[in-house]
Amino acid sequence: MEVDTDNTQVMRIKNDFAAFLSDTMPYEGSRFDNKSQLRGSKLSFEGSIMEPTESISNVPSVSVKSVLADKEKDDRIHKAALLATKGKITKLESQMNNMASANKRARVEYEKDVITLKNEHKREISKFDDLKLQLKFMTNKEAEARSSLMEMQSNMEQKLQESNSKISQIHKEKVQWETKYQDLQETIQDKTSSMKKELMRQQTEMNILNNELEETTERLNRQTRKVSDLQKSLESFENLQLESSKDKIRIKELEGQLSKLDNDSTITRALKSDLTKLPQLDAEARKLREENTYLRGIQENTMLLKERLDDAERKIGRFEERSSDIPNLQLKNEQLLKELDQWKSINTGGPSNKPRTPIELSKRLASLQSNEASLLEQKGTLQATCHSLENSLKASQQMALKANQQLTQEVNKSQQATDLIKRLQRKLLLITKERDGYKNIIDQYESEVTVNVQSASSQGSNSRVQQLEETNQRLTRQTEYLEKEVEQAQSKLAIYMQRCTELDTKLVQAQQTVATETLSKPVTEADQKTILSLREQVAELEKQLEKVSEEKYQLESRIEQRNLQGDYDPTKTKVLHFSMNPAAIAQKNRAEELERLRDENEKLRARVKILEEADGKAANITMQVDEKMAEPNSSKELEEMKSQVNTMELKNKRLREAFMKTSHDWRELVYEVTGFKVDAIGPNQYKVQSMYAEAPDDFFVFQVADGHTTLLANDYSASLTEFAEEYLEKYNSIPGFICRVTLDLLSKQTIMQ
Amino acid sequence: MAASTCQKNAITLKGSTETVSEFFMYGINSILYQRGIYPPETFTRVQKYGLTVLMSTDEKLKVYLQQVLKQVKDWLLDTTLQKLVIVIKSLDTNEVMERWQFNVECDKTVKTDSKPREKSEKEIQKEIMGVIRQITASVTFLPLLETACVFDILAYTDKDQDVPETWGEAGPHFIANSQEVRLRSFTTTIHKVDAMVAYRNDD
Repeated sequence: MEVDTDNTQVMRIKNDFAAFLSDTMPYEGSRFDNKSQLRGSKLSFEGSIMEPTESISNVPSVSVKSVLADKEKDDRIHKAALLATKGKITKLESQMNNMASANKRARVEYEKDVITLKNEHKREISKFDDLKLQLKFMTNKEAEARSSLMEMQSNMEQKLQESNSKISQIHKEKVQWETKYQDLQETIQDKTSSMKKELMRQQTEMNILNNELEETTERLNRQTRKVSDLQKSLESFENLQLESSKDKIRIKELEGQLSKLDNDSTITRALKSDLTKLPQLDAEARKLREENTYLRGIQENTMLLKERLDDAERKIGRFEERSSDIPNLQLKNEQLLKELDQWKSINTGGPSNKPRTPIELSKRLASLQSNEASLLEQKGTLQATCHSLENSLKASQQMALKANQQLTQEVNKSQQATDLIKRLQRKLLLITKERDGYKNIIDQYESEVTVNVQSASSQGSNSRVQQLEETNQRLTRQTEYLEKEVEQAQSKLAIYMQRCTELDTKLVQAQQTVATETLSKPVTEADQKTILSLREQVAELEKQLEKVSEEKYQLESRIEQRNLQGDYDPTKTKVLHFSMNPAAIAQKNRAEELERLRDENEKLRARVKILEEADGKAANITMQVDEKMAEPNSSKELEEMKSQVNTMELKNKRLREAFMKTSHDWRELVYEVTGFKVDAIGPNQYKVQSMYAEAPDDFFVFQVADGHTTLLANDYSASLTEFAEEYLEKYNSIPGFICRVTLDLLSKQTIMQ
Repeated sequence: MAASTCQKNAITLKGSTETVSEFFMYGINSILYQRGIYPPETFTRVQKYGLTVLMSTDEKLKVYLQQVLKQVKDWLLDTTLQKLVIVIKSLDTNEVMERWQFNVECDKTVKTDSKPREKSEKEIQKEIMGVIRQITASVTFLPLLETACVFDILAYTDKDQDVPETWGEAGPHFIANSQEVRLRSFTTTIHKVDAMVAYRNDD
């Protein structure tokens, strides 16, 4: 050990010496070098000072000889080393010179570089500032743009939502309306189909009727046309007949004239002889010429007449043909008339008032329609009367019911009466039996009397017998009376029965009258009143019904609403769902995902931190991150611990509060019960002060040590030595002492008061 | 089902149960498709009730629906099911957005061995078609579901029923400010199903 230390010391000395030597050599050197030299010299000096002392201190333990030997050895070694080091030093000196010059050059260059770099840096800074300003400007702009964009987006979203909601509402309404529309359409279609059917039926009926009517009118027209044709033909025929007769007359006249002319010609012949004479002949000739012209004229006339005749004859021929047709036509006419009559009879139905003409027919139709209207009216009135009759029938039925009830009552009464009669008859029977029994007894007595005692006791027994007979008679009378009563009851029953039958007949009559009589039957005032009151009641009840039904509707709608919202009766229903439902699974997955992401986030954060710390040059980051994450002071654990600490602190606080409260209560109780206030003033020392203490300094101090309680002396206890002696020393009883003190103080206080 | 197929004009309790649960299957699937609870590409087209109904091909969802409807069938057979509610709620806020409610009125007098009721399958299918159609059409007025949503099926049963192991009691999932729309209904004469939808009113 020592050698080692010595060695190191020697080495240091050598070094120092070398340094010293180098120091002696003059350098161009800077201040720095000088300083180091100075320091070096200082150190060497100190070292040299220290060494001898140490060696001296170590001397006594080692022999001088060995020390000297060591020293010599050391010297030798020192010299060798000195030489080596001197060589080294010279080498180093040359190196140093080179280095210094190089250093100087480098420094100059470096300073130049520094200046240029500083300038560059300044430029960069100015550029950077510009860029910063630009960036700020840009960020502001961007923020503005973003805000406007956000606004726009929110506006757009709002609008979109509004429009969506509107659309949904409209759609919903549409669906509702469509369903309503469909329902309506269905109902309308049903109605229209039924209406159409009816319409079709009626139209077909109408068509049929119209066709019939048309046919009949056509027939009628045809008939009338034929009739008119026939009439016309008849008229023309008559005219022709007249003309023909005139013509005949003319022909006759002409024939007469012709005969006259014949006669004239005979006369002329007769006169010829006379007219032998020329003048006469001339005259005759003239006459004849005249006659000839006349005749010529006549001839023309006759020609005309002949032509006319021919015409007339042709006409006659035609007329004759027609007249031969007439019977046929008449026959046809008759047949048609018959048909018409038949049709008319079919059409009208009624045997009387057969319509002869279409006008009549129409009239008849109108009358029939009016008849129908009147019949409808009658029907209405009849229905009204029917209703009223039904009402009255109901009333009468009620009456009948009442009558029936009366009847049953009567029947009951009669039954009661018959029962009574039966009972009476039974009684009568019993009585007659009794009577027979009595009679037998009497007979026995009498026989006994007659057999045994005829003289003496006969009188008594006779009287007895008489009495008995009297009673018997009375009984018979009573029975008669009862029988009469029975008869009366029976007669009454018969009367009741009669009345019943009468009532029945009355009921039947009433029913009949009700059936026959109409509404016009006056209703009694009482009935009217009751009816009115009943009507009012009905109206009230209807109102109530309306209200109740409204309420019911409201409640039902509310129930419906609740039902739609999925409400249920928890007493009857429970809601279940599959435990592993998709919602639960998704939620679980989500929670797991969240946890994973949180972990990842933490890791990434740590990574970023590491990267920031290592200026982006950290190798094996993941390892580092894992290490960091594994460290206990991760924020999560720290937070957990903090929260635990917080909860513990809170618990502690609560406990302390609870303890404080209980201790306070406890002390209050002790103070109230014993009259002493106990305060802890130090470890195991307690201050005990009475509530009757005269001064605030009047208190005892007790010390508790090793389970023993001792009173410590103070001014106040010193003033109570009397009690202390008595109780503490004599009985060793602190409670007794305390009690004594309390009593003393109390007595003092009461006296003072 | 066997009874209802061989007797086309009559229906038993078993057949009615089959019909109603089948309707629920198709109805729930179309609601999930129409409301976009599951991505539309996971649905495939199926012909049913004379309509094209979209059915999910998501295996998890299929298994879930099968499990639920098996239990629902049991309840229908016991005539203790009162309501089946499909609740659509937001995944983020857990807020109920929509409630599709199917009120089921069971004829409690009918037992499994009771006489079949007179109603033709065709008629029932026609009624069901109307309901499904309305579900499809209701998308037009229902508000758009803006957030990611999930669904849950709630069953309202009689109180005295035992809760199956895989089921738990749940809340009724009311919508605070709701708007309700009643949809069509159908009846098998044994089960009467009233459909309705309530949705959140944002106005």
